[in-house]
Amino acid sequence: MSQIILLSSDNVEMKVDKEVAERSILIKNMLEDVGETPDQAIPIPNVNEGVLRKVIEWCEHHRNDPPPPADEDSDSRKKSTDIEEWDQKFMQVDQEMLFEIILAANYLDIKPLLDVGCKTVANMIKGKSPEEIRKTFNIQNDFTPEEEDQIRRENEWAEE
Amino acid sequence: MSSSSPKSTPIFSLPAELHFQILSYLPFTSHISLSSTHPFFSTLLQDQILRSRRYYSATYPGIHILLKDYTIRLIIRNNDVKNAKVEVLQLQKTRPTMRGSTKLVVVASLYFSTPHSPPSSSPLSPSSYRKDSSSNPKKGRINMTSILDDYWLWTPLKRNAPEVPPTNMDLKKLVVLLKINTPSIIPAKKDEDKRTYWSTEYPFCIARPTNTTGSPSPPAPPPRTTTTTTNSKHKRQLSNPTPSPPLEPATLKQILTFISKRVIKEKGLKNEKKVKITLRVCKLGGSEGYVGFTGEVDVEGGGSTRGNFFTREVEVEADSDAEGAAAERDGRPTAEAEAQASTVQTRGSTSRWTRWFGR
Repeated sequence: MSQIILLSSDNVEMKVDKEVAERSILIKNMLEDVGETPDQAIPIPNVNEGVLRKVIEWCEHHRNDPPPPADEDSDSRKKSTDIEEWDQKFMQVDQEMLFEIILAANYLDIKPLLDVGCKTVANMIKGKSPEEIRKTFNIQNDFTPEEEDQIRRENEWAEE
Repeated sequence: MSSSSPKSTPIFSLPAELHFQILSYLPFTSHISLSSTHPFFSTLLQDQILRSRRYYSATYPGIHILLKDYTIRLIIRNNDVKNAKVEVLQLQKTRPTMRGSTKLVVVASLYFSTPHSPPSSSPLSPSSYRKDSSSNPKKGRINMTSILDDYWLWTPLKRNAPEVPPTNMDLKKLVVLLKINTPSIIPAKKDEDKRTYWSTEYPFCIARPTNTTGSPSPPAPPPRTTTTTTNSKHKRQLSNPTPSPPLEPATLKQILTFISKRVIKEKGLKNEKKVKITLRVCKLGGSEGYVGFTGEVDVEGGGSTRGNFFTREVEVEADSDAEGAAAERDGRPTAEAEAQASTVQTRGSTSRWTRWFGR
């Protein structure tokens, strides 16, 4: 099985199976454009070593998954926030890493990984009050008291 | 926006399109919560999500405000109810009409608590309902909710709350329809008459008689003369230009009673006939906006009639106790019986029918 070399933003080279790397549509298209397996490392300038390793780990685990449905907005995909058990564990990282993975998945065009990341964040928000959400994501309340009062009045019907 | 710029926390590192993707997995209530956390999300949601989905625009101040301002007031605002909350369960946009308008269908649970008498009494008859509430306003509370189904199901939420008999409350479904006109094709011509009718200040109010012997004095009517009608019991002087008496919000029961009686009266039904009325609350937004019910009457053997109830009709006919007593004397069905009824023929509408079902 042919292998390719990926070069992270911090200049760390990583050898991966071509099949695994091609979970990324960006890399797959790049390889198709080149036409043959390149000898040189493929630079991934927006992703550092740590994040790239995580992304590769995910791609290796899902290397045999069927391609995602063409209809990006399919209802089943949109409605469910269910995440596979392995993916749940995979996403048990600190928030900085979580959002880095999401950004990397977006950059590398790995839709299933992007979905998992977004669902993970959605699940962290779902059912929480504004204060709980702030706490979860370390968001400082930057509303002025007047703004906060107005928002509270606007939204009070929806609150418990 | 000062101490914490959006970049200081990891979640703010995501671009807007990824925030939108995250939001796509979240229910509307979470959108609201999130918009309250930080101006970043407030702006993102108000300016992008809500506006792009027409929940919000410069003309329409936000669905939650509309619900708060109109729906709750419309349904709940009366002296009997102590608490109210609407929870949006589902939002759905209908296909645009030929004129380009779209309806946003909001299926919502309506929670409210109200003073309640012991189950042995008949709390849902208009007279006893009022009596109960005034006699002891702190006598227990009942939380009720509508279940997302075709019907209102009045369910006590608290285990120890007394049961509400599921009779009579045949107002079963709350579907709030917000008709959102596409701004570019809002008709330029203002329909002053209609706007007067559908006053958002007094949605479904009741004009109380100013003295005990006189007939109810309706509020100043809109300048529409074709609706003036007469029946054997009450003369309705809809073009009376005298100043309006103080208005009180109508209760659900009063509105339902009024509608039921009109159906029975118009159709000459008897007690054995059953009338099923499903009410929807309609809201037309923007400068053309109005608030009103759409009444839907199921027809035995197929078909249905639907239309909007004019506020004034409710106002004029709201003296339900007096008319109910008259109806009983005449052997006509009472409001109680009517409210439980189930089917009525409605095709071939008469002009009067069209008038109060018409728009």
